[in-house]
Amino acid sequence: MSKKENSSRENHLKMELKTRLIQEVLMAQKAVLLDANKANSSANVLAIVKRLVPKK
Amino acid sequence: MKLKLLKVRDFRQFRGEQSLEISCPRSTSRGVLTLVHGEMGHGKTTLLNAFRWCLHGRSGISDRFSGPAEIINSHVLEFDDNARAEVHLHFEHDGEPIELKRSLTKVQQLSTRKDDYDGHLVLTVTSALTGSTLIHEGDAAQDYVNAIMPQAICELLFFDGEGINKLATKDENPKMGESVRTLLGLKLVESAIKILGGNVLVTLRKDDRESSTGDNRQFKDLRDKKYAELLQINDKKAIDERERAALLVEIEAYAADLKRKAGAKALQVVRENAESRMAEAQKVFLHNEDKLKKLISEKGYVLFSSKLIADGLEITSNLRKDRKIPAPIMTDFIKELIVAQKCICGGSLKPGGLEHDSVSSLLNVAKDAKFHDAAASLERTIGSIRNVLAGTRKEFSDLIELCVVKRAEIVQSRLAIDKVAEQLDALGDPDIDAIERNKAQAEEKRIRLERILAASDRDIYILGEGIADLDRKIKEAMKKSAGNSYAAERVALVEEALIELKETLRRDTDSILPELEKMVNESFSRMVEIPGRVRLTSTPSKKEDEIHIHVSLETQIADGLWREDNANTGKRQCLSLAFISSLVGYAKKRSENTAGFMKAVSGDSYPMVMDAPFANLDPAAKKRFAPQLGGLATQVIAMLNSNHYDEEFEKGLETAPGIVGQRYVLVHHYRKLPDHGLRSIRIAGKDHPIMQLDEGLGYEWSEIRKIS
Repeated sequence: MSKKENSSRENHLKMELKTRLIQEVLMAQKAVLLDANKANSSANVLAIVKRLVPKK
Repeated sequence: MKLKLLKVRDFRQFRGEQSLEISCPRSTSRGVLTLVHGEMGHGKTTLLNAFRWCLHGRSGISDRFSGPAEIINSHVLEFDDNARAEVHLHFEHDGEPIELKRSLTKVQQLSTRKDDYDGHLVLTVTSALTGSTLIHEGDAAQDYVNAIMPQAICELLFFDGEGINKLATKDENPKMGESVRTLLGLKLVESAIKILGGNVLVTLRKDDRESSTGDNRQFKDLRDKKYAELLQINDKKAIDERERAALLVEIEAYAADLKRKAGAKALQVVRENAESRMAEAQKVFLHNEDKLKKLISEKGYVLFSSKLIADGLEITSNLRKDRKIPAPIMTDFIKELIVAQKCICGGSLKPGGLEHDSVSSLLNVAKDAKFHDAAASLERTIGSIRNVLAGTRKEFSDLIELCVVKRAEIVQSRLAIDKVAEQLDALGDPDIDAIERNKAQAEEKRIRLERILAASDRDIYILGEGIADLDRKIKEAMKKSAGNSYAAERVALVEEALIELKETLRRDTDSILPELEKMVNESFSRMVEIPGRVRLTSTPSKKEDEIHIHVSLETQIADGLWREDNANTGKRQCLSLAFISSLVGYAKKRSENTAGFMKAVSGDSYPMVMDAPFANLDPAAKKRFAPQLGGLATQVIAMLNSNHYDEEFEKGLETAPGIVGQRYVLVHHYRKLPDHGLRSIRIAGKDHPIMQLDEGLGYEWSEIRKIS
């Protein structure tokens, strides 16, 4: 795979990851609005980020 | 939100348990419209408030509902210590069946504690995937309801038609803006931005810094600094761009205003000219009037003595003719006669004789020079006055003529000014200079902003390059130290997501109003025949991403000429309905058409519940409005009395076949039937009783009776 192709693939993955993060955060916020028991939304969102970019 | 069933128990005049099944097109393959027919006092407004009370407790009850604290049926309250009122609302949200129950006990109703006011709320939701149920109670249940149907939205969608016109007033603008933001999912995006940009980013940065060492930490610190700067510039740029967008709208509005009022400038010049002509004529008129007054006071006697002169001239002329004015008397000749003692008649003038004495006497008279002089002087005076009179009369008539001319000029100018005023009034008599000045100022401001924005873009580019360079360095350093770059990646991911969310919020906000305005106008023109249009304008807030919406109604006064109108109640009612239905329609459309990550949070389908929705419309407008009812939302529940509903209205409904689902009539049970009022109403060709005699009962109550 050429350097250019590699970079393009990397960008594409980044984009996908970003969209997924936004989608999940929005859904999590929606769930928080619906359920007062899920009050700690920072922790929820942090968990989403950590799941999407795990420790290597 | 899809409504299924409303069940009330001992709620106000509804005694015992009664229910209202709500037409839902998808589940029953019937119309979207549920009609409830009822007369005044039979419970239409109570039913509307049963929905509102169930969703939001006492604060949800409409302003015009009397005795909002008296929820439990008064007869039950009096005779049963365990009395309680209940309202159940069954609906579906996001495909999940939800049952909501609010109850209020006698103790709670009579309590003075605020916590008791709203009674007890229980919400049961059944999972669409697993079928398991989840029960929320109290505040948790209320939070759930608030997320689905916030109170501001509830007031919009579950409304009292007689008060709905007030929505189209400036005071209600914040409520409209809030509804737009909530219904279209923008508030959710804001909350995501808040949480990602707050605690989450702070924690991730801390992790990142802690996992870095040496050069790498320095690089990261520098990168964070640059990123913070970038965010600041980005935020400022977003504010500037909003301001620029607002300025462009403002400039466009000024230009359109100037174009619309192009004729006004020319009219204003005509008015100014007429005014200056009138002022000049008035000045000349007043000056001449003064001169005339002076002339009359100084030489008026001449004018008034003209008759005297004419008479004097006639007398002297007659005297001359009769030779009564003494002709020049020859004294010497008389003397000669006396000396010669002869008269001219040939008689003797002997001294002592009669003739002698007469002639002597005549001679004495003839000697009276004063008489002679007086006669001559009289003639001279008359001549002189005659001359003065001629001059004065000319001067007088000249002045009168000038005054008349100037007065005519004044009248003419006044007429011209009035005519122009009328034309200008139709245009709102705009201050064109002020509009031009405002436009120029807005242009200047815009140009200044363009420069600032160009500078921001430059800074953003430079900072972006710097950050990318540092990212590379950080990555290389990580590789060298065989460390993990995940912490930095997390930070970068959140940062990028934040930028994207902010951009989405800005873009969506900007695109909503024009589309919504178009929909409101289309809906409004279907309801009213008069040429009118609705304008939705927004003022962006600098501190928060909020839209302040201004709704104005304009009517056409000439081709291409519109004026903001003090609309009457009926028109404002239509405008409010048009706004609500368009917003509901837009939310639905957005939920169906939005792509990407906004799809999950953009809009929803909402029902509308309306009590007397067109109380102030004339019969023709009602007939036209009837078939539109079904198009207002995916579900519409309308409460109608005989003033709102008649054969014409039914004919209107028939033009949209299939829109009517269930129909109900509210029957009031009396201990003794009243002497007045309708006993039955005719609905779709059939008579239905609306009063019933229940002599054995010790109370009156209302019944929800299904008729189709």
